[in-house]
Amino acid sequence: MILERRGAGALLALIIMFTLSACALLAFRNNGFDIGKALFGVGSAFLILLSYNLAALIFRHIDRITIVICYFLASIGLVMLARLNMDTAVRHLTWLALGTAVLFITVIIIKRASDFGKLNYIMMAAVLGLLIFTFLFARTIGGARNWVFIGQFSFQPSEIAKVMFIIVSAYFFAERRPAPAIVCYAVFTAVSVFTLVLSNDLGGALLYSGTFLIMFFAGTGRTLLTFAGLGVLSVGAVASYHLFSHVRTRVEIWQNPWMYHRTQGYQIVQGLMAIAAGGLFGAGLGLGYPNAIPVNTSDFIFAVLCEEFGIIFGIVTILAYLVFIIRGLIIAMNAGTRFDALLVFGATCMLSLQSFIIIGGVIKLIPLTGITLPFISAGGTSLIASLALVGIIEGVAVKNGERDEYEIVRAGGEVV
Amino acid sequence: MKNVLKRNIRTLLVVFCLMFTGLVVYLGYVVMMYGERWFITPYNPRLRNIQESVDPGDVLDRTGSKLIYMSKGSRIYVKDKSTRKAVAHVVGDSYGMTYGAQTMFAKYLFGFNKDTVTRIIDLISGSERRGSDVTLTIDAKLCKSAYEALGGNKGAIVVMNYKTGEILASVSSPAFDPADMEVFLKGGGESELVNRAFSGLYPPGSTFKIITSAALIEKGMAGFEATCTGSTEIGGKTIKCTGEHGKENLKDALRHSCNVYFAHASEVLGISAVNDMANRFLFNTELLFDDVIMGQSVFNTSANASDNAWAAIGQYHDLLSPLHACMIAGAIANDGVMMEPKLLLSVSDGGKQTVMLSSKVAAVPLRDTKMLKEMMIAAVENGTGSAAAIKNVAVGGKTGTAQIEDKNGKAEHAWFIGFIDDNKHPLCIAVLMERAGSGGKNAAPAARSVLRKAIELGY
Repeated sequence: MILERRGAGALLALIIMFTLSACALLAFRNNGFDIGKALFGVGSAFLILLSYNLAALIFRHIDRITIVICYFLASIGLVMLARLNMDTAVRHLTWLALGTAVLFITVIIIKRASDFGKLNYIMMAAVLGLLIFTFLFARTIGGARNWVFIGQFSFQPSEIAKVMFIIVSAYFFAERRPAPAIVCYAVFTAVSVFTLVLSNDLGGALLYSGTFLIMFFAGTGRTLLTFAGLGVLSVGAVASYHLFSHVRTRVEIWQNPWMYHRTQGYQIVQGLMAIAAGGLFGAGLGLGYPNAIPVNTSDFIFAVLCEEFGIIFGIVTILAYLVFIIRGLIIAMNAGTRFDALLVFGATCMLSLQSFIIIGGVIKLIPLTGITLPFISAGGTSLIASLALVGIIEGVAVKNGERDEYEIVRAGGEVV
Repeated sequence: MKNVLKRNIRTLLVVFCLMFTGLVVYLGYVVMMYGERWFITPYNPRLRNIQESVDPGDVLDRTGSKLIYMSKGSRIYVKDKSTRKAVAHVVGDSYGMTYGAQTMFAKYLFGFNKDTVTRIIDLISGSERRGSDVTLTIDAKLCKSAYEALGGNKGAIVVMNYKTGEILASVSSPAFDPADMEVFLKGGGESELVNRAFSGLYPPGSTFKIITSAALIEKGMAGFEATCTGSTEIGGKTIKCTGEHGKENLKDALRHSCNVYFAHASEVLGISAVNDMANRFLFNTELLFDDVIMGQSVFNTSANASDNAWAAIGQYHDLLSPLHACMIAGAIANDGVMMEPKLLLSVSDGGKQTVMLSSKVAAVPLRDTKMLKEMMIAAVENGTGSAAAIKNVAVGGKTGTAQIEDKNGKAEHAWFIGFIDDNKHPLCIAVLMERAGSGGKNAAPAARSVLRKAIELGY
C-alpha cells in the first residue's frame, strides 16, 4: 500500500507566473521602467516559492493544496496592492513573510498540543481583555473602532482575539463540560459579541456569532437549538437595528445605495460601478479607476480586482476560497480527536464566513459590514491572524498525515 | 459521537458550497442584469475622467443633423436654442447630471465598446483616442414642434413608432439648456433636470379607463351597461361624473369618459381583474430596457370598495409615466404587442456604421385589440378627444383629466394618449401637461399638432 502525497506544483508555477508577469506589467507602465515594482515582483515570487518549499520540507504531511491556495490569494493581494500603493504593498509583503513564520510556529504548537486545558481560561480572559481594551482605547477608522495605536505601531486586537476564540470554542465543544464551564463560555461569547457591536465592528460581531453558531451545531449536533440560536441572533440583529442608528443606516444603504450615493452609500456605489466597469474580462491591470473607491486596499479590494481583472477572475477568487473551505473541512473530518476536528472546522469556518461577509457586502448581496478579505486585503494583523488560522488547519493536517503514515508503515506500505 | 461530528461537518460543507455558489451566481446575475445600469449612472467618475483622454463622438438625430459635436477641442451643442432645449433631456448634459444619451451611451461615445485588443493597440500607439458617433432615433424637428406644442406648460410629450418602438420625439418641460449648465452646477435650478417624459410619474386619470375596458372585454363583459345619473355612491363615498350620461354601453362610456360607468363596471368585474390587466400592461413591473430608464408605474388595490373604484378610473394610488402611457397606446394600435422603447439607432466609428436598433417586444398584454381600437377612434371622432382629430387620418385616443392635490392646492393634469391607425404612419403619442386642466381641451390639441407635424415629416 502506497500513500501518495498530492503536490501542487502546477498551481504554484501558475502563481509565480501570475505574480511575475503582473509586476512586470506594472513596472513597464507610464512609458518607463519602475525598478521597484519589478524587484517587488521578484521578491514576492521568491517569498512564495521559499515559503511553500520550506513548508513542504519541514512538514512532510502538510496539505499542499490548502497552502498553495492561500499563497495564491496572497499573491492576488500583493499584485493589487503594488498597483494601488507601493508602500502598502511592501508592508504587505513584509507581513506575509512574518505571517508565514507565525504559520510555521502555529503548526508546531498545534501538532504538539492535545488541548490547552487550563490555558483556555487564560485565553478567554485575553480575548475579553483585547476586545474591551479595543472598545475603550481604539481609534475609529472607516466607521469601526477597532484600531489600536501604540506609538507608530497600529494593530487590530480583534484579529488576534479571533484565533484564540477558535481555540477556546473548540475546547468547550470537544467534550461534555460541566455546567459552570458552559455558562462561563456562553457569557464569554455574548460579552465578546456585544463588545464588538458597541465598538461598531459589525463585521466582527457577525463573524464571531456566526462562527459560534456553526461550531455549536457541529459540536453538539442539536439542530433545534442551533435554529433557536439563529433566532436569537436574528432577534439581536433586529434589536440592534432599532437600538443603534449605525446599524439602521447600514441596512438602509443596502436596500438602496443609490439614494445615498453622495453620502453613506458612496463606497458601495463606487464599488458596484467599478465591478460593472470591469465587465467580464476586466479593464486590464492598471487601466481601471480604483482611486474613486474608498478603502480600496482593504474592504473594497474585491471591487478593484473585479474592475481590472474582470468578473471571471472575481469568480475564480471566490472559487479559490471555496476550494480552501472544502480542503479545510476534509482535514477536519480526518482529524483524530474531536478537539482537533473542531479546531480545524472553526478556523475554516471563520475564514470562509469572513470572505463571504465581505464579498457579499461589496456585491450588495448582504448589508455591508467592513471587514478584511482574508489574505488579499492589506492589513498586517488581519493577514497574520489569517495565516495563524491556516497554521491551525495545517497543524492538524500534519497530525493526520503522521498518524496515517504510522498506520500504513505498520501495515507494510510506504508514503511517498 | 465522532461520526455525528463528521456528519455535521459534511452538512456544513454542503451549506458552505451553497453559500459560495450563491455568491458566484449572484455576482454573475447582478452584473448581467444591472451592470450596464451601474456603469452609466451620472455619478460614475470614470465617465468624467475619460473625457480628459478621449474625444467623445458626436450625437446625431435620425436625419443626421448634429446635436452635439466636437469643434476645436470643445463640445458644441446644436445652435438653435429651442431645439437644444427640446432635445436636452434625451441628449443629456456633459457633466453627468442627467440620464441623457451622453450618459446612457457613454460606452460608445467614449469608445468603451472597443474590444480589449483595439484598446491596447490604441494605448501603445498613443494615437488620439476618439469615441464613436451615436445616432439617436429622435427627430430634432419633431422634438422642437412637440416642445412648442406644450406651450410653456410643465409636462412632457412622447411620440413613438409603435411597430419598432423607436422614440421619434420626447420632450420634457421645463427644460435645461445643456450649453449653459452654470446654475445647475452650483446646485441651483428647480426641476428642469428631471426628464418628466421617462421618470415623471403622474396619476393617469381617465386614460386608465383603457386598461379597465381591456379587462372588461377580456372577461366577456363588453356588453355591460350602466346608467349614469351624474354621480354614484360606492363604499360610502361619492364618485362624481362630468355629466349625466344616462344609460350607456362600454363604447359610449369610453367616448364620454364616464366615471360612474367604469366605477360600477370595475365593481362588478372585481378589482383583481383590473389589477391583473394593469400588470399585463407592465404596471408594478421593474423594467430594464436597453436604451431608456423609465420610472415604474404603479397600480394598487385596496380593501376599501371606493378606493378600488377610484383606482379603476385612474386615481387612488395609480401612477403612470408619459413614456409608459405612449407604449400603452402603441400596444392597442399594434394589435396588442407592446414594443420596448428604443433610442439608439446606430453607432458609427471611422465611417463604419453599425445599426444598433433591434426592436424588442416588451409585452403582449392582449391578443385582440380590434374593439378597443375602434372605441378609441370613436372617442376622437365623436367624444372627449375630438380636438385631436386630423382630417382623413384615423386617430384614436383617450383623454384624461387627473385630479391631484398637493401643497400647491388642488389641480388637474391634462392627459391625451393616442395613435394613428395606419400602417404608413404607425405613430403613438402621449401628452401630459401639469396643472393644465381638461385633457380634451388642452392635451388633445397639442397631440393633434405634433401628430400632424410627424406626418408632414414623413413618419
